[in-house]
Amino acid sequence: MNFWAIKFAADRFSSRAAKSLRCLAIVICLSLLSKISLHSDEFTIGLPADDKKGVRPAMVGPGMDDLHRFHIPAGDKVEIPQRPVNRKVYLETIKHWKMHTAGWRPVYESFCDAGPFGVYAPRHAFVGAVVFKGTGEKRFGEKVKVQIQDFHRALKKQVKDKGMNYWYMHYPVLLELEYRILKEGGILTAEDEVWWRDMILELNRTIHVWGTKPTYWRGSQHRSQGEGVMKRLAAIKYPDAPEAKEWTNYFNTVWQDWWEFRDTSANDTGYFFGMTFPVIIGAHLMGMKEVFTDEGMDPFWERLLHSISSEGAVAPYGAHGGWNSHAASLLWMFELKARYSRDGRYRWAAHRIFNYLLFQSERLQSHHQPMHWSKFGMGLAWLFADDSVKPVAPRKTSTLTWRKETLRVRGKEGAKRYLKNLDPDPERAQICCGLLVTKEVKPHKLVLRSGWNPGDLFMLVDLFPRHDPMNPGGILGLMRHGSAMTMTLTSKAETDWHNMLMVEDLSGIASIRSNENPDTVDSYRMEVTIPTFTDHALATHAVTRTTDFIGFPMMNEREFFFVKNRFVLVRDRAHFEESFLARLGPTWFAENIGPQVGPNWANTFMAEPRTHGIALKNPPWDLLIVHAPKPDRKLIVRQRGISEFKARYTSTENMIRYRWQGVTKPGQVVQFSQVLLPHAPMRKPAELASKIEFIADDHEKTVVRIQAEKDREEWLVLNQTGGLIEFGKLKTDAKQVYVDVRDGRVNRWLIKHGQQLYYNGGAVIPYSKTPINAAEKTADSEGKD
Amino acid sequence: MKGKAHSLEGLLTLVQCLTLTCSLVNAEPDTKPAAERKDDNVQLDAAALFKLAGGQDVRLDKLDSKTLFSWDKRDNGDVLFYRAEKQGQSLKIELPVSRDGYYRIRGSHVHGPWKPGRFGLFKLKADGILMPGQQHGWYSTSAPKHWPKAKLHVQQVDWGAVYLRSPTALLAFERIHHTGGMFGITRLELHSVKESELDEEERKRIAPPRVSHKRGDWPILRHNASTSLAGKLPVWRTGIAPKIDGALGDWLRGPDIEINKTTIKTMGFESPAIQGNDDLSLTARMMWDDRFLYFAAAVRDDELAATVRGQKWKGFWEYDGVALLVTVPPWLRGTTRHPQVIEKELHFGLNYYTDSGPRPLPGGGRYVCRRSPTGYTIEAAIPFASLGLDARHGDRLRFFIIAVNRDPAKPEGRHFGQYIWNRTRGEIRLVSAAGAGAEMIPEISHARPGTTIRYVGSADVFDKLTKVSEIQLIDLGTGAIKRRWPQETTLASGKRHQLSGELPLHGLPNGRYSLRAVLSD
Repeated sequence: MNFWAIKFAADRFSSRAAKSLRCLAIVICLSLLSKISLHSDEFTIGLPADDKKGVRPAMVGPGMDDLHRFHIPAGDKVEIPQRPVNRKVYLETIKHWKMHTAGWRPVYESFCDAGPFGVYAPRHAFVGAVVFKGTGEKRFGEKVKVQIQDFHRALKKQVKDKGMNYWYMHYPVLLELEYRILKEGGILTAEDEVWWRDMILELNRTIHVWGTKPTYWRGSQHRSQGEGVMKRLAAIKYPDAPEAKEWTNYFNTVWQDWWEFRDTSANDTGYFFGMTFPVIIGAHLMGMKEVFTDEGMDPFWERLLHSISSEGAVAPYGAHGGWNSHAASLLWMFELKARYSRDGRYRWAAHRIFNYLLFQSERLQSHHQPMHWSKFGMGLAWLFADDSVKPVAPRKTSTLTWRKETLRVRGKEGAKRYLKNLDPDPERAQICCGLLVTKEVKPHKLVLRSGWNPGDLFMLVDLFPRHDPMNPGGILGLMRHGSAMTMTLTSKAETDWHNMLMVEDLSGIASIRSNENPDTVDSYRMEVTIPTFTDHALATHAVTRTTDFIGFPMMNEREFFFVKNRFVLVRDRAHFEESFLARLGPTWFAENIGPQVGPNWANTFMAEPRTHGIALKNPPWDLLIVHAPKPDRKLIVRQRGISEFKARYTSTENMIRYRWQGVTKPGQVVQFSQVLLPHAPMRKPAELASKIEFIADDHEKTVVRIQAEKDREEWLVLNQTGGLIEFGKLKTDAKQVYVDVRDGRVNRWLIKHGQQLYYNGGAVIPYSKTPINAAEKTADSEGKD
Repeated sequence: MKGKAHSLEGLLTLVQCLTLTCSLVNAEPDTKPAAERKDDNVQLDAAALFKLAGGQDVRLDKLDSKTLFSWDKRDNGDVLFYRAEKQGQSLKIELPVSRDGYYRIRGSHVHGPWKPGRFGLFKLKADGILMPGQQHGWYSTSAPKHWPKAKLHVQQVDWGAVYLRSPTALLAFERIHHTGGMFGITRLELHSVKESELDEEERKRIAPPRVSHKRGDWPILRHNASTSLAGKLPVWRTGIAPKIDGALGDWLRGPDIEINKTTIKTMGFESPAIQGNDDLSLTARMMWDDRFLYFAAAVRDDELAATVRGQKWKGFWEYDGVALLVTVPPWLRGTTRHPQVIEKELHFGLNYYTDSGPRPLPGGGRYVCRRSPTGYTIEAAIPFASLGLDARHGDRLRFFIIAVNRDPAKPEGRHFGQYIWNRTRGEIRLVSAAGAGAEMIPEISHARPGTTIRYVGSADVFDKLTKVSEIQLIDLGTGAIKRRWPQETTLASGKRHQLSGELPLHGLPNGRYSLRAVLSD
């Protein structure tokens, strides 16, 4: 019974020994991994070891038998239609989407015939309210009223049976929206106003957000903010209620738990939207325009804007509900943001999201949950959209996003140092999720973007060093031609090692860099810095550094050389500060690994990313991962084994890892370089893998030649010392170089921090006495900095 | 000199403490005349530094008299600018060092248009050694709006003298102030200096030797570091097994594990804080012998909840008691002593009971509870066989304890609590009567004949000063000691000592082996 209780206890437990309790997923995941890859305190001399090298067929993943994918159009032939969007389009879509609470028939046909929605009425009746307001057909308004009356009955029963309710998140703001729609439409009588008042006051008087005795929660998270907003709305609406003053005072206090920081705690695409639902709609209802216009909120809104792919997909991370699961929440948030700020970029992004939802609409409508939430978000988007705001495409550059630090405090006691005016009553001012924010700014995500055309290569990298799961440097999302190539596990684990350098201490002697702050229960206190981030027309170059990496006595430097709409070179340099027996190497989580795997490479793809147990569409497109070959490394392909529950929300059940093992020493650097190359599906990717050559890969330089297409040769150089290097036809002293040669001629190039670039004896950049910060030539232009 | 340097490296790494470093200063004389070392000097201008600053947030700009108030005429106006986003970030430049010796580091740095001391501060670490010099940072390369005529200055900074080692030295200019992240260099110089010209403080600044990563370069035994034993519990070996009857009179030795209001910081979700020692507190001890891990606890609990009466036991969070969570660590799994891999953490729920008898434990474990005037006692024997382990002196096991308190008669919110020991990384170490234990873990599972094998390990010294007197290679087929490497490495008490080394395997037949560190007083 108390599994969850102990699970949460373990969440507060910083010991690595307790990791197994900290999250069921990580238990299953890591135990299965280590079951196969043991390391013991014994060894043999002379016995044969190591498995066979060479190209192997690999058939891991549900999609491996799916030959169908070779017969349907590949990603570059699949169009995700980009229809113009306005309020009329939203409304028509809602009317025609199905409604599971009304016989899986279209809303417009079925809503008025539906049976009672009971406790779900405020949510399920909302689309009826939208149709009522949009069409003026009173039968919808009357039906909404009937449904809300039914909810009132359900509320009374809940309070009678349990003594409380816990409907803090969606219902209070929805009921207020519905009230305004019904009132404006002439549906509510004076008699209705009476029961409505009773309902709202009862809802607020009996609210216990956790379903437990404490009330008046604090913190920046969903329960405390939901409780604050609902009480303030009630106080505004019914100022003569005896509790109105207390409710207002509480709101004024708890609101500052996020507003003072202009940010909230969750680093995920799940709980985050639990907070924004009451807060953002609440701000709208309460006339708090500053939530949308205050410049202190810019990092909050900007990071949401830049996080979507060019198709409008939302790659999930942290605790979430699967692929694109909360996109509809961003949809309405962006419409509302655009309405108040008049910033057309948000409308533009909202319309991308909407078109991606339409692309998936058949699949979404096969399950009541994604169908409901998508339609519900469209309803809010219709309500909030202002067609006079002209959609404007955001800048098509890669971006670094930022956010405020998150801490998980040791309950109310630990929060005293951070939050003001904590009510001393033990039944009040408990901290929702134990989470709060500080004013310290931390890197949030690295968004590597080729552009905003559907199909453009897009990569989302986690940088945030706080809030479980911590995956600094982890590639959360990668899309090309509308095809998702990885997705995270829904997780609250310490880390999922998601597409990042995975480190294990096989000897158990590395001193753990624990979080020493006695007021907090976060396990570690890593720091992430971005010493380099430069974006150019051809490529983006970024370096991230994580000290005390996942609590280990080491720093990991992860470098990205993202060549737009081509490929990505990712390099890890693990700097060790202590001796321990380490096993490390970059991971990649995919749905399918194969159909071929080599000694240092693997082909991967996702056939159907999941959400709520349903499979979404994914245009066929593959990802080839090629590591710089090293004799002391081994490519491991493994099923990670996740629970049935978690498998409903992710497709990436398989992992590859290019692994090194050894005793580390202070000052030692272990380097891994890999190229991620998206490509059209193929049965024998070995040939393509052979076209990616690591000409050099040492502590001074990494040089890669890629001949993925006929008569085309591309070079990538990371040359951090700036020494003169000459490999084959290429000669340069620049620190970063990309060269694209077609038919023997240098067609495009980029150099950074160098004085020369020669190809095949010809000067691309002749030697210059003055070093060049950056220069590039796209196919038809040339620029210098 | 080469041999001397090698031994110094070993010593320096053995104990990286200031006192030892100081004592070594005189052992590193550098008597070569300064004139002979003229070529050892290094002078690099901004453009050269820019190339060495690889991949950092640096920029090379050319400044002129419109912007610069004055500069060193040797420079051509090139300035390497670095921007530290926050405190703690540093500009790192690896300079060539032609030979080991003392060097004075001088720089020509851009001084921002602000009153000195008002904004920003950068300090230098040379190969990790903090230098006495400092330089102020500022905000931008342009003048502040309210002071448009302000200009940048170039000024000389003597960062100090330090002993550096060839072939390179890593200079890190670190922002140590919360404001002013801009830092500029037009020139950086290393000047070789005689030791006799230095004062005592300067002579103490010696960059640590570089660590070799080459195979065959490692010593037989290296003592890397000493860390805290917090969270590590010694379990003493006993020659007389305690009688498992709930009477704790036969528990004479061992440190106490205390769970009470003061010691417990980690609690289950929504668990109330322990109200006082009568509400819940316990003192526990552990021992071991070849077959069992023994656990005893005296629990104070002012309200004992109902126990099982003829029904099936539910989860162990449903009753008062103590849960022990034990995991065999990865380096013991799959060995001849742990052939059957038991992957998951084993949980032993030692719940209080009355007439029902104790909860069945996995693997034949047993325990007895006895009512006491203030609560109850627990005495348990956990067979190592339940973990699949043939336990030996020196073994480490991952371990933690959760005390469960059920108080149904107390006010709402205080009905249930979980209190976790140990918040930090919980481990037990099976130690000898001397109070110490060590393990050695080979780097790889398969070694080629005639090569070397590296290992890593740790020694926990709980009681008194101990030394590693020998490293042994055991043939697991015969149990014979095949090799001995005598050692004289002293280990201070009250610490965990991290060890590593590399052992030659030439002349050894094929077979299965293990390593052992012999500890002695």
